Amino acid sequence: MGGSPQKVGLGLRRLVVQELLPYIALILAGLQYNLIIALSAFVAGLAVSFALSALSLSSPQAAGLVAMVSRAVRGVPPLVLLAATYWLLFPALRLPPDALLACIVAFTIRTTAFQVQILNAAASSVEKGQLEAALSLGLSEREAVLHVVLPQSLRAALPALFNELSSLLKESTLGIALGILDALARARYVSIATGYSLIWMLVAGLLVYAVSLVVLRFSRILQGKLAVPGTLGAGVAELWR
Amino acid sequence: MEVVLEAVNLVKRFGDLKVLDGASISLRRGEVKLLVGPNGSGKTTFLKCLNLLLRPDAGSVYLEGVEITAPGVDARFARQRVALVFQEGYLFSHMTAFENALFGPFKVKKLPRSEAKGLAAEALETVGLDRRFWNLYPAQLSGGQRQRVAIARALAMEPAVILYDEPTSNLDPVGAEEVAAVIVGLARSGVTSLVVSHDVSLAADLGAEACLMWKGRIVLSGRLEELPGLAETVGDGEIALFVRALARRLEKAGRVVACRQLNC
Repeated sequence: MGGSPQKVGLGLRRLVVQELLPYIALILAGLQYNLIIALSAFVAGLAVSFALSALSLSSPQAAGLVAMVSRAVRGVPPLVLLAATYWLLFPALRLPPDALLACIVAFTIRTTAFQVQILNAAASSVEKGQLEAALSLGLSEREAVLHVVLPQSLRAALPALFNELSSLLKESTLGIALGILDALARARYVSIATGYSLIWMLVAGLLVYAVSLVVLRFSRILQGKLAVPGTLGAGVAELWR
Repeated sequence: MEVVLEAVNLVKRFGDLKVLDGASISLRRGEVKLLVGPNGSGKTTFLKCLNLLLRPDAGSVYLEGVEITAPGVDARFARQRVALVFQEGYLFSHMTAFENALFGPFKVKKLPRSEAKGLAAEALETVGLDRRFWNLYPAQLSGGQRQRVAIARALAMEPAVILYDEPTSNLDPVGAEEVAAVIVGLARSGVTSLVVSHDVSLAADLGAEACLMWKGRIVLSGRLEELPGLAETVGDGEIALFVRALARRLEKAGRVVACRQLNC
C-alpha cells in the first residue's frame, strides 16, 4: 500500500498518455467537421448574402422578397432545416445522401438568412448622399455600390458577421442528427465508453470555445486594421488620444 | 462665347408635386451665374437635372451642343462632364482626402494610376489644401477642408462646368470664407460655374449674374444689385418681398448700396 511519489507520478503519466490522450485526440479529430461545416457555410453564405444585399439595394421589390424569405428561414429551428435539407431537398434535387454536404447546405441557407439582414442593416448606415456623390461623378450604380457602399457597410457589419461565424461553429454540433461525428458527438461516445460524461463534454466544449476565441480575436484584429481614422470604428480610446 | 450648358424648359415631378415647371438657363464658357430662390423652389432638383442625377420629365439639357437628355445618350457621360458639389460635401468617408480626389480620374475615367494621381494632386493644390492633410480621412478634417476636398474631387474630373449646391451654408464663418475664396478663385480663372447660394459675401464676391428661381422656374435674372428693381416689375408681391430681403442682407453686409438708390 502507498507507493512512492515517483510511482504515483508515473501512474498519472500512464493514465494521461495511454488512457486520456487517445480520447482527446479522437475528440479533436472530430473538431475538423465543426470547422469544415462552419467555415464553408460562412463563406458560401457571405458570397450569397453579398449578391442578395446588392440586389436588395438596387430594387425595392427584390428587397421585399429577400426580407420575407430571410424572415421565414430565420424562424425555422436549425434541426428542422437540417432534416428538411437531408430528407427533402437532397432527394428532390437527386443529390446523393451525403450528410456532410447536407449539413453545409443547410447551414449555408440558415446563415445566409442572417447575414443578408446584417449586410442590409449595415448598408443603411451609409449616407445616401455618398452614393449620390459617386453617381454624380459618372459611376454606374453597380460600381458605386461596389466602391462606396459595400466597403463601408462591410466595416459596419464586421462584428456581427464574426458573431455569426462563432454561432455557426456552435450550431454545427447539431450535425450529430445526420450522423456526423463532430467533436461533441465523439465526446458523447467517449462518455459512454468511459462512464464519465461531464468531463468529456467539458473537453469538447473547451475545444469549440478555443476556436471561437481565435475567431473573435481575428475579428478584433481585422476591425482594428480596417477602422477609418477619426471615427469610432477605430475604438473609443481614439477619442482621448 | 460658346454655350457650354443649356437647359430648356425643364419639368420634374415627384408624384403630384411639380418641382420644376419650365426652368431654363444657359451658361457660356467661363461664365459664372448665381442661382437664388426660397427653400423648396427647386434649386437642388434643377442642379440634379442638369447633371442627370435626376432625369427631367420634360425639357432638354444641352452640353457643349449635344442634347444629353436625348434617348440613347448615356447619363454617365453627362455626369462626368457636369460636376456637382453638394451642400454637405459627401466625401467618401472610408477614403483619405487624396483618395477622394483620385476617385474620379482613377475609378470613373479609368485613367492610368500615375496620370490620375497627377490630376488629384493638381486639384488638391488648386483648392489650397495643405499637403499634410492629404492623407487624412474626412472625419479628421475641418468642415472647410472637407468642402474644399469635395471641390477638388469635382475638379479632378476636369469637368466642363461645376454646379455648387449651397457649398458654404453648412460651414462656420472661417470655413465658409475658405470655400468661398476657392470658388471665386476658380470662377475668375475661367471655370464655368453655377452657384446656388444665399451666402451674401460669396454672392457679392462672385459679382455674377443672378437668377431667381421661383416655384420651379427662373423668373428673374440680372446683376445682383439690379434684382430689387427688376422684381418690382414682375408684379408678384411675394417675389419682390424675397428679393428685398436678400438685398437687405447684402446691404447689411456692406456689399451693395444700389438697393437704396432704387428705393426698394
